[in-house]
Amino acid sequence: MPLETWQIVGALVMVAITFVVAYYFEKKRPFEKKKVEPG
Amino acid sequence: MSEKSELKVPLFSPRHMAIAAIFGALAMITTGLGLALPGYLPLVNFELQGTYITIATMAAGPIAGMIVSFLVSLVSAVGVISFPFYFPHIFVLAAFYPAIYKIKRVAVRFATFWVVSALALFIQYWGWWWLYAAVFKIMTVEAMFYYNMLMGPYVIYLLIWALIPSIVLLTTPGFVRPDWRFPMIKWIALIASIISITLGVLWWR
Repeated sequence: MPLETWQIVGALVMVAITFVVAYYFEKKRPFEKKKVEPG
Repeated sequence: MSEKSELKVPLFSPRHMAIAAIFGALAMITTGLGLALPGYLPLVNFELQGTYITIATMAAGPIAGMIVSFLVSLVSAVGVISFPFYFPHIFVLAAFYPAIYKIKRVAVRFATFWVVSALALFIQYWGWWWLYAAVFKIMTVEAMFYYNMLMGPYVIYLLIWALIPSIVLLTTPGFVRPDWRFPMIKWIALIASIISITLGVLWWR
């Protein structure tokens, strides 16, 4: 059974979201504890 | 505060929790919407959760991988019974991944990641073959072995489990830096591998 268009588009959107999340976590490093400088 | 305690690696930090939640949600959406490649088995498609489980394990450790596998099993065609069968792959990848990440040469790191993913998938497969043979009674482990290894499904599943994660490893290495720990991961990976392969071998015919 061939894939329907919406399934292909949906899969591509999910791949795009994956890379956007990866890029966001790479650049912003959210939810990360800030390193406290001593003194 | 000493430098050692400052640099102490958490077992599961809020960042790890966020990664598990986000990739668990992405996996549930993908599988729940039926975004899968058709044609694996009758009523079973090539579902894409392997991509998300791998990325979560790389970025946030085996606990995150296990959380994603549980969440996605809630919407998977195979059902919630399936989630422990992902664990051998998660543990084998987690056992080798910090060492893979440290490899300086990018091409070698990339190739090693694929080799370990292929090994982890092969180990994981035996448990799944047991599940299909002993529980669902679709076909024997022997038939599943020859069908998967010689007729294409292994390659398709390897692409699902390693292609996008390996691109993420190349393009956003800071995101998938293994800043997690898991006690005795090598032993746990070994025990999970033995259980998975033994189940498959015992139900061979």
